[in-house]
Amino acid sequence: MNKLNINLKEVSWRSAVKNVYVFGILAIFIIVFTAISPRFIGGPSLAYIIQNAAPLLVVALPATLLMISGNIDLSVGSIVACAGVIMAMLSREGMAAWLAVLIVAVIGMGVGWINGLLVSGLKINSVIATLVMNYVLLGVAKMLCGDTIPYVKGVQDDFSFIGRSKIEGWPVAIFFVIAAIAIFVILQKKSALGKYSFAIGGNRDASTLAGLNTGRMVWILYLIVGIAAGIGGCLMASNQGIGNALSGSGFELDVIIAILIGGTSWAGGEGSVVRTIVGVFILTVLTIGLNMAGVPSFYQFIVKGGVLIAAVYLDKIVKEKISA
Amino acid sequence: MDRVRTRGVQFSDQAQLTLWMLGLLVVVFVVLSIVQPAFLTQGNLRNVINQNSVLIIVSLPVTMLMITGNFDLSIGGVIGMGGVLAAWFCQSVVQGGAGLPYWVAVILALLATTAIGWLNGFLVTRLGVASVIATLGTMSIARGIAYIGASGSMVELGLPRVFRFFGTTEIAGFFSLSMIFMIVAILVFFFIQSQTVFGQKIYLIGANMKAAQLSGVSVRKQINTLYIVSGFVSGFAGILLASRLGAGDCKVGLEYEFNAVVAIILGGTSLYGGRGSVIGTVIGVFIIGMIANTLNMFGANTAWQPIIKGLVIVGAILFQRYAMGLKDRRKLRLE
Amino acid sequence: MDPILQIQNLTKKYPGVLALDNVSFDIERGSVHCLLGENGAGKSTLIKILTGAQVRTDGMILMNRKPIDAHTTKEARELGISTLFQELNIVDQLTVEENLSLGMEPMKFGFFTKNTELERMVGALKHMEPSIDPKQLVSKLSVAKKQMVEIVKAVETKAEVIIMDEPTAALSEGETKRLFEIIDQLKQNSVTVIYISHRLEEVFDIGDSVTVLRDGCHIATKKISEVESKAELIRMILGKTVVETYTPRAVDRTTPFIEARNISNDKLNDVSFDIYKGEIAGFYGLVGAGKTELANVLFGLDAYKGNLRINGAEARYASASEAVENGITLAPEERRSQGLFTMLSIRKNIVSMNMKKISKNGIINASAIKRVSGEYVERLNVATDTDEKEVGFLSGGNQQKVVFAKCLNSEADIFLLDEPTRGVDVGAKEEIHNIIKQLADEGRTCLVFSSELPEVLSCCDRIFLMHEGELMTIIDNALDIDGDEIIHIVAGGDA
Repeated sequence: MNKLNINLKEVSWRSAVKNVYVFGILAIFIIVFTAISPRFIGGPSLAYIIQNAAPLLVVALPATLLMISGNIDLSVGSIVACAGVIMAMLSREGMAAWLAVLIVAVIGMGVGWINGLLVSGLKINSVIATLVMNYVLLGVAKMLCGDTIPYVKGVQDDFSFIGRSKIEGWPVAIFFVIAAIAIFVILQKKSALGKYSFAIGGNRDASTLAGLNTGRMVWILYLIVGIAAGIGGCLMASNQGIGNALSGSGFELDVIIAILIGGTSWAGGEGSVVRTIVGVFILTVLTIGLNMAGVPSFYQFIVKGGVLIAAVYLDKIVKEKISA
Repeated sequence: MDRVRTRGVQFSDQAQLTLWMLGLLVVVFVVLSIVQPAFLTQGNLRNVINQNSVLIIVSLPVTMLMITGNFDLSIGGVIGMGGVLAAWFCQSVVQGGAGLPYWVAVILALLATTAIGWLNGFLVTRLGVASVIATLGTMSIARGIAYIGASGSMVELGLPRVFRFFGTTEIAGFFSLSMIFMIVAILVFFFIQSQTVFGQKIYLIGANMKAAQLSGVSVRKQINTLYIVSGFVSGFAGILLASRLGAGDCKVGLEYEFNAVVAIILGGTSLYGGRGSVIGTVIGVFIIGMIANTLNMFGANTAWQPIIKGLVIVGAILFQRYAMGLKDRRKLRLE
Repeated sequence: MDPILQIQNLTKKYPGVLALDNVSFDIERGSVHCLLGENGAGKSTLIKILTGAQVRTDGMILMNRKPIDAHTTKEARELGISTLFQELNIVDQLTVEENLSLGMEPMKFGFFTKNTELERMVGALKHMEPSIDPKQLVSKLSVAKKQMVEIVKAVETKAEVIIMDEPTAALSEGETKRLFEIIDQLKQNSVTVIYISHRLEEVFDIGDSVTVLRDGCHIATKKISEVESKAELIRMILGKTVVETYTPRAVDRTTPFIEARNISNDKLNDVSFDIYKGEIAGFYGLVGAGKTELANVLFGLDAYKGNLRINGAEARYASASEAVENGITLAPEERRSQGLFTMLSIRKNIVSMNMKKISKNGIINASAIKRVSGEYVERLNVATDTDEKEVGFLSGGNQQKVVFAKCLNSEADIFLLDEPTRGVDVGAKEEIHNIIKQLADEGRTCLVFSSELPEVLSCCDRIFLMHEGELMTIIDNALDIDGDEIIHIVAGGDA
C-alpha cells in the first residue's frame, strides 16, 4: 500500500505541473505588460478583458472537446461572422436582441449539423470539410452584407446589450462566460459526451468495440460547436456594435491557439477545458497588452503565428519532460 | 474492365481520373459556350486564362505536397508577403521604402518567402507539427509581415517604373507574362512529376511513407524541399500580382489556399496522398475558373462563388471515392 | 463432453493460399484449449474468423450447438467471444474505472448516474489484482495489468469464451504466473479460454487440451494428459519430415564480412557473431526473440550499443537511406505495410530502391525502367500479364517476388530478409528459396530472419538460434540436424 501512495503522489505532482504551467505563462504576460505599460494593471478593467475574451471563450471551450475527440473545426471563424451579420440584420428589422441571438444559435446549430454530416456522415477529412465550410460561409456573410460594404449598420439600441452593457457594474458578457465555463466544465467532467470524447480521441477502435456510436458523438460535438459559434458571433457583433462579415477572419486560428496553449493534444485523447480557459485569457491579455503598448494591430498576426508554434513546441517539451 | 485500353496503351487510375476530369472540362466548356455566347470569344478566353494563371502557378507545388500527404495553407499569406516585400524593398526612401534596385528587391522578397517555406518544412519534418497547424501558423506570420510592410494597406507610391514590367508586358498581343510563366511552370512541374527521380519519390512517399523510408528515400529532405519550393513559387506569384496591381497590397492572396485546395481535389489528387497530378490541378483550376467567369457574365453575385465551389468540392470528393470504391471492390473480387 | 464451440469443416482461402483446409474440432466448456502451430499454420486465420475479423470461405462454427456468424469483433463480443489481442483494446487516456465501464454506463439526460455495476467490476478487479488503483490512468499501467483490466471487463460482460493471443509475450515471469492463476479462476467460473502461445511449457502448465495446426490442416486435438512429452508436440507442429533437402555450399570463411560485437539495445542483449561473404545465415527464433530488431539495427533503423563492422568499416547508419547507399537492402516482415507501394504499379515498385540505375542526373529513363522491370519480372517469374498492374492486385507470393525484385534491383551486397516466405504458398516458397541460394552463389550475403524451422533448414548454411533478444548458439546446417534440439533451445532451454 505504501508504494501505491508514493506512486499516486508522484502522478498528481506531475499532472499538477502540467496544469499549472499555463497559469504561470498568464502571470508572466500580465507582469511583462505591466512593466511595459504601467497603465495595464489599472487600465483595462477586468470587465473590458472579459468582454473581449467572451466570444473566443464561448467557442474555444466546445472546440476543445471536439479536438479531444480528434477532430478540428476550421469553420468557426466564418460561423462567427455570419452570426454577427444575421443578428445585425434581424436587429435592423426591429427584432429584439434576445430573440435574434436565439435564432442565430439555431442557425449555428444547422451549420454544425452540416459539418457533422460532412465529417461523420460522409467521412470527409475534418480539415478539408471545415476548411471548405469556412470559405463557403465567408461568402454567405459577404453576400448577406452586399458585396462592397461588408457591414450591417442601423441596429436597435438593445443590440449592444450582451456585448458591451453592464448591470450594476457587471458586464453582461460575464454571464455568458460563466455559463459557458459551467456548462463545458461539467460537460467534460461529468457527462457521457465529455468522457466519450476522450475515449474516441484516445482509441477510436476500442471505443467502437465498447459499443460507443463514435460517429454520432462527433456529430453532436460539431453541433454544439456550431451553436456556440453562433452565440460567440452575437457577442462579438454586439461588442462591436455592427455586423461585420470580416470580423471572423483569423478567429479559427485564435481558437486553435487558445486550445493548444492549454496543452490539449492536436491528435486527440488528451486535453482540458479548464486549461483552454487560461489559454483564452492568455491570448486576450496578450492582444490587449500589445494594443496598450502601442504595437500596431497587424503585428499581432506575427505574434499569434509565433505563439501557435511556440505553444505546440512547448507542449511537446513539457510532455517529454513529464513522461521522462 | 479495371483499365481503359486504347490501342494497347494502358492508363493508370491516375491517368484515368485525369481523363475523366479532362472530359468534364470539355463538357463544361461546350455547355458554357452554348448558354453564354460571350464566353466563347478570344478576348474572354484570354481573360479566363490570364486571371487563373497565378492560381495555377501556386497550386503546382501544393499539388505535389498533397501527393505526399501534406497541406500548405500558408500560400495565401506568402503571396501577400512576397508582393509587399518586393514593393517595399524597391520603394524610394522618401516614401519610406528601402530604395533598392528592383532586381535586388525581387531577390530579397523571394529569399524571405523561401524562408517561410523552409520554416514550414522545419516545423513539419523536424518538430513533427501537423502540417495543417504549422502552415496555419506561418500563414499568420507571413500575412503579418505583409501588413507591417504595407503599414496595413498598400505600398504604391515611389515605385520604379520597372515594377509594372511583369504585370503589363504582353507578347504577340495575346500572351501576358504571367501566362508565359504559367506555361513554363506547368511544363517544369509536369516534367518534374513525370520525368525525374524527385517526382517518382513524391509518389512513393504518398503511397506508403514507411515503405518509402525503407526503400532508402529521404522522406524529410523531400518534403522540406517541396515546402521550400512552395514558399519560393508563392513569393514569385505575389510579385507577379503586385506588378499587375502596380502596388504591394497586404490583402492580396486571401483565399488562395482555399482555391488551390478546391482545384487540386477537383483535379483528382487524393486527400490521403499517393494519387494526383499537376495536369489534373490545371484542369481543376480551369473548370472552376470558367464557371466563375460565366456566372460573372450573367451578373451573378460573386459571393455565390464560394458556395458553388464548396458544393463542387464535396461532390468531387464523393465521386472520386465512389470511383475508387468500385475499383477496390473489383480488387476484392479478384482475390 | 459439453462443447461450447464446435468448429466444423472450416475452410479459408486467400489468393493462392489455402489458409485453413477443412478444419474440424471441438472446444470443451470451461477448459483451457491451447492452439499450436508455426507461423502460417492457420492459427491466426482461425482466430480472425472466430472474432469476426475475417469471413470464412466454407464450413460452420457452432456455439452452444447453435451456428454463429460474427462479422465484426463487436458482434463476436456480443455473442460472448472476447479476445485479448496483442494490441490491447483499451483507452490509455482514461482511468481504469472509466475503461471498465466504457460503453455500459447507466445514464440519464446524457449524464452518468450511479453505476452499481461498476462497484462489482472494481470489486472483481480488486480481487484479481489489489495493486491496481481504479482511479489510475491506464497509460500508467504495465502490459500485464492492462490485460487484467481487459480480462475483468470481458468476464463481467458475460464472455463465455476468451481468446488470448500470445498473452505472455510481453510479460515477466512473475506476471505470467499471476496470469495463469487468473486463468485458473476463469476456468472455475466455467469460462473457456482459447490460449495461443509459442512457449510449449506453458501448454503443459495451464492447458487442458491442445489442438495443433500445420499448413492450414488440423493435425490433432488431444487432452494434455494424453500428450506424452514436449517432443511429441514438436513433432506434431513440425511434421514428421523435418529432413529438408539442404545441399552444403562452400563458403570462404577466412575474413568475416559482417562482424557484430556485443550489440545491445532495449530488445537485444549482447549479440555477437561473424558472417562471411556469400553466406546464407538463418536467424531462427520464436516471435519476440529479437530477429526483426536485429534486422532493424543492421539497416540503420534502431540505435544500438556495441560494435558493428561491415567489410571492415564501421556500420552505424543514421537512416535506412544511408544503409541502402552502403549496399544493404531489407525485405521487411510486414510486406504490405512496409515493403510495397500497393497502389502503384509493379514497375514503379521494382525500381523504387535504386533510382540511380534508371536515371541520369535525376532524370528518369522510361525505357530503362521498362527494361529493368521486365528483366526482374521474368527472372523472378512474377505471374502477371503486364508489369503496369498495381501490386495490390497480386497474390501474396507474387507480391513477395516484387519485394525481392525491388531488393535485387538495389544491387546490394547484403540482403536482410525478414520472414521471406510468410503467407506465401508452397510453390512460391520454393522459388523464393532458390532465389536466395542464387543470390548467395553470386557472392551476396543473405541474412534470413525466420520463425519457420523448415525454411532455415532448407536454405541456410548456418543457423543462429535466438531467444528473447539473445543469440543462444550458432550451428552449422547439415542433414543430420536435430529439429527437437533446436526447438528446445529457441523455447528457452539450455543449449
